[in-house]
Amino acid sequence: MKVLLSWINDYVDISGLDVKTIARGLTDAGFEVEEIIDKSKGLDKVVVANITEITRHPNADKLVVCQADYGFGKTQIVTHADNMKVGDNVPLALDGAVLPNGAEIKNGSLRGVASNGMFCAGEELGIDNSIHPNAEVDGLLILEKNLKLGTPIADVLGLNETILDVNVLPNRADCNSIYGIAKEISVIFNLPLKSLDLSYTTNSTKKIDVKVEDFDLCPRYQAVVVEHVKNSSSPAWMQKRLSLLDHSPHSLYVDITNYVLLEVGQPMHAFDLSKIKGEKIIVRHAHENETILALDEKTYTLHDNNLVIANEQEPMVIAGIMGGIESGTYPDTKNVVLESANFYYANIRRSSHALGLGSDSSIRYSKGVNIENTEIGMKRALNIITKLKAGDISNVIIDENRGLPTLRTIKSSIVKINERLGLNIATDVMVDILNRLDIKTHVEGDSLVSTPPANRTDLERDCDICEEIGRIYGLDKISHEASTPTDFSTVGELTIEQKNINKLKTMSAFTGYNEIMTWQFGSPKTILNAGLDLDKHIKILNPIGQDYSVVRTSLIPAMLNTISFNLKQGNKDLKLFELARVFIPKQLPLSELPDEHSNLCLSLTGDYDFYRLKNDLNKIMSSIGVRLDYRQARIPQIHPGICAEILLYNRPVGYIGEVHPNILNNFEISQKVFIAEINLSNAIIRLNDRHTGNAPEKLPFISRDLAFVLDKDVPANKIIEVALKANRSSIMDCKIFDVYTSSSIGADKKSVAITLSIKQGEKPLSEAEIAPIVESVLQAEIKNFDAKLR
Amino acid sequence: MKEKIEEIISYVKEKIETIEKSSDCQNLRIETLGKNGKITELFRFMKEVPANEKQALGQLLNTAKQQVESIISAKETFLQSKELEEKLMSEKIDVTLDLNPDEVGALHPVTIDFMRMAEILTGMGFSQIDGPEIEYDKYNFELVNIPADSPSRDMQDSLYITNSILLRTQTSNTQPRAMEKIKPPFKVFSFGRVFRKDDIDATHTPAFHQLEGIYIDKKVSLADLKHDLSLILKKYLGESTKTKFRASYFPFTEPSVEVDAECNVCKGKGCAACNGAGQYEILGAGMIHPHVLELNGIDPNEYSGYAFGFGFDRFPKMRYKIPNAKVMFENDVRFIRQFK
Repeated sequence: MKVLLSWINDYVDISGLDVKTIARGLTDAGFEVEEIIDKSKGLDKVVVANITEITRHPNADKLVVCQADYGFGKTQIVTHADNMKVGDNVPLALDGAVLPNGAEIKNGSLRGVASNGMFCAGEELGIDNSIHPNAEVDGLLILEKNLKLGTPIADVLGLNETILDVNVLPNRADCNSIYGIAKEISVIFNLPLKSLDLSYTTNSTKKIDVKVEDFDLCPRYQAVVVEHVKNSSSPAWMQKRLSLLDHSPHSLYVDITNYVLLEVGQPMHAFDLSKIKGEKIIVRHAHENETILALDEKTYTLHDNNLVIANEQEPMVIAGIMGGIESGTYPDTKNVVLESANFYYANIRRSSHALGLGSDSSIRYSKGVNIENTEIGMKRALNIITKLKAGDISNVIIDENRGLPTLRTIKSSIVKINERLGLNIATDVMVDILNRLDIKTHVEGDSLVSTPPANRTDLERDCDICEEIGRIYGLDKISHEASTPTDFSTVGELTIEQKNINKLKTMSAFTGYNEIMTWQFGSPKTILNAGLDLDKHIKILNPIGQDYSVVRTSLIPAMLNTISFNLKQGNKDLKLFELARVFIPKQLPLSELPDEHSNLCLSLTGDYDFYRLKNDLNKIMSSIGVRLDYRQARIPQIHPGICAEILLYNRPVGYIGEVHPNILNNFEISQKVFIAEINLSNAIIRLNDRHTGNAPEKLPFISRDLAFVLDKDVPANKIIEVALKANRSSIMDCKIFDVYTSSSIGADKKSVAITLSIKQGEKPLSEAEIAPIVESVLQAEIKNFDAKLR
Repeated sequence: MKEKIEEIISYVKEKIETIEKSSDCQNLRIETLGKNGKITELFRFMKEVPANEKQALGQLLNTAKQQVESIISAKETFLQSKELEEKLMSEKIDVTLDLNPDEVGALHPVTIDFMRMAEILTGMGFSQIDGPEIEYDKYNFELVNIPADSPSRDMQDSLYITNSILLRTQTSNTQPRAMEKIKPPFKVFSFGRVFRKDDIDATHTPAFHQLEGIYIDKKVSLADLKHDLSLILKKYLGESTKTKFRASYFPFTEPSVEVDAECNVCKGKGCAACNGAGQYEILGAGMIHPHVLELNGIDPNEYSGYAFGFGFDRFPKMRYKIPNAKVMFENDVRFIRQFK
């Protein structure tokens, strides 16, 4: 929220404080000042000058040469403006000025005649008519007579103004106003606060009927008639304040409602009484498909959950959001009805969202405006009307409500306040702080008994009182060395899963893979391009956009996108991994949370092969003590001949293979991609700490080779499994060291050569003892696979 | 006889000088000490020598034999080592060449920094907890004191899947889940992805990482929070890090604080790196709201606790001077490889 410091000064004398101190104080007390805006910025070398002579330019018809006196010097200026005459006072930008629009002024010459500085138009100074009446004319800004020459223009225009952009947090809706912030400043700096002038005089007895149909959505509605209004333009001081705070001035009554909105945070509305058909205001739900032409000149179609302010025939205002063009006040308006009301914040927020329509009022209401404020806003507006003699105020203020909330009393333990803050604040200091905040407080035994003002609905219990004391006392006074002694100590550790995940990530990187991070949601197109079934995916109801609308069940689509992106960037030989969660719905639409799995996805793009990827995956998984098995498989997204199901404890946990060319095509990838994805849920739940440290055998293992011919389709892992099973007590290891195919051994055959590692006992094995062990392996291969010795 | 021996020895001495290959040494050995070698021949004279001279002659011949052998083997050893050296030198390679390079990969900077942070937190007694990324409204909002219609829900526009299930907007969903399972006192932290309906720009991504910690015990105070946080931030951002508390608001804490760190570039004076503020916002924290404790079955009269949480991604962004969030998450390997 933007806060004009000179306006604050109406209520608390801040002349003794510099801007930075004010900003620091507000920030520390929970009102972060995000920006300090100096309105005189760019005007520091612009001064009042008097034109003493105007002559024709010798070389240009459209230019004139002026002599000017700026108090502490005289200068010559060439200008193409023609709205000035000798004797006029105008703004002069001197050499070195950098105007608000960024223009840099330097001494120079125009068409051969020296020009030292520049006369300025209103626009060049960044002002409009609300700051100075001549600001928008075509030509120079002609200033008043009788100005002291050389006076800084910011002083003349009243732009020595500072605005603070304050972040008001959601619990302090009471401070979305000048007066609210003034009150905070008065407490923070312990300065007296002037109260709002709410007095007014009445000259009329005119009444208006008000009927509120739903007090839940409109807990309070005040209305008053003002007759014989003069609805011309508002006074200069009001226009200037509105303008400085980004509200362009309109007619007097609209300006008054905006002024009150800024000053006390109460949204108001002004109706033309003659437009209120039947002279009756009805606060009701909109009729289904009822329409209204709003002040933004757009027609809105309303529904039952929108609240409207209507007359007997039609809606006049979308309650709390925007008025209608028809019922508003204009310069010819004779009699006005002023509205000050309270609307349920959540309904205003929902309606505003649903209609795609927001305003300063709806923003205030959405944050929650206090019910007490209805009356404060109304009286403040009437006070201004009285002072401006802008109309005859009726002595009847309609006040429709279902009763106002009573003040609550909060009891807090003094000891607990200090315990919670970790401070040692004296009781009288606490009481003083609270009373300055208008939280009426006294001590009862070892407790504080506090009654917050009506507009502090955020104060509900003792911890809130504790916070008020803390934030004004200064939370930074808490020492960072004074930890409370505790007899409790913990061993901090990661979960087993987290440890394993960190290890897998580290190992993947060590094995050569670069870690990528992609979002949990993607576009339907990517899912379809990757050959997955869109119907099995969770959809987001209100996605940021179509590209972020589907929750992933696999890391592969995003991986393929990333590969495609990198190839387009000219990156080659890609080794990428991602370890992140995927979401498998138990049912769709969801009626309970989906299963979340941590998956690991590895990919190789470039001069690599399947075995490299498989070997890397095995290496990475072995870092957490997991051994994987593989089984030939077929899935549509993967090359039919180079595709395996990954097994963990005999259960399928993922796939590995070469990505199908059709899929690669979808992602515009023209190189081979090898990819593996594994669900880690069952792999990461154990720590790799179950090892046995047996002494190694005394005698070395004996190595024997064996080669045989068998069917091409017999998988290598089965050949090894059979060999190991043939003599478990002696055969320690079996490795395939050669696979050979040739027409000479038959097109559907292959020759496989294996090396066996045979364990010896206490004594060396003789050839006679070794032979039967090797023979048992051969026999097993013959029996299982019809192998023939080569 | 003596002359003959002398002659052979001088022959050997002469001959050995001409030998250039170690294998020729063996030839000279055969020539002198072999079956029919010059020295061996002399032994044959033993039969013809009178018995009383035999011993002396034998000694003489043996000495000669040893002398020849030692001359030959000295040269042979010399040549062998020279030849080995030459052979090895012929195998010389360019050690600066990288053949078959197999580079290591890199972890993502977010992972690297999380691992650092996890070490610090576990060292201070915090254990890691995890929660689902797709969550019930109840855990994400209600149980952390953000009821339906609360204006606070506007602070974090959420991505919904059903009316009651959403992509979590904060790691705070792990708080009620922890309180459900573990009884106080405890110290835990959680880290992970959270999701907001933000438009994507230089500082906003629809998903980002958050880290949050809570400590619940008897008489936990803001002083404990300040003590622990300043320690954590010193370990993480550097020993000279100075932290400052100011008042703030979060629905789940009361009092709430915003924690600022003094800008480590200008030491608080204000510079371009900190937008002239002299400090920058690090995280939000506070005393867990007693209502949150109540909602989760913990008696606020007996226990109190602190909580802190922050968007994590800006820390690696700051540490590694990463220009914007887009660069960090578009996954160009040229970016990631820098973190090897």
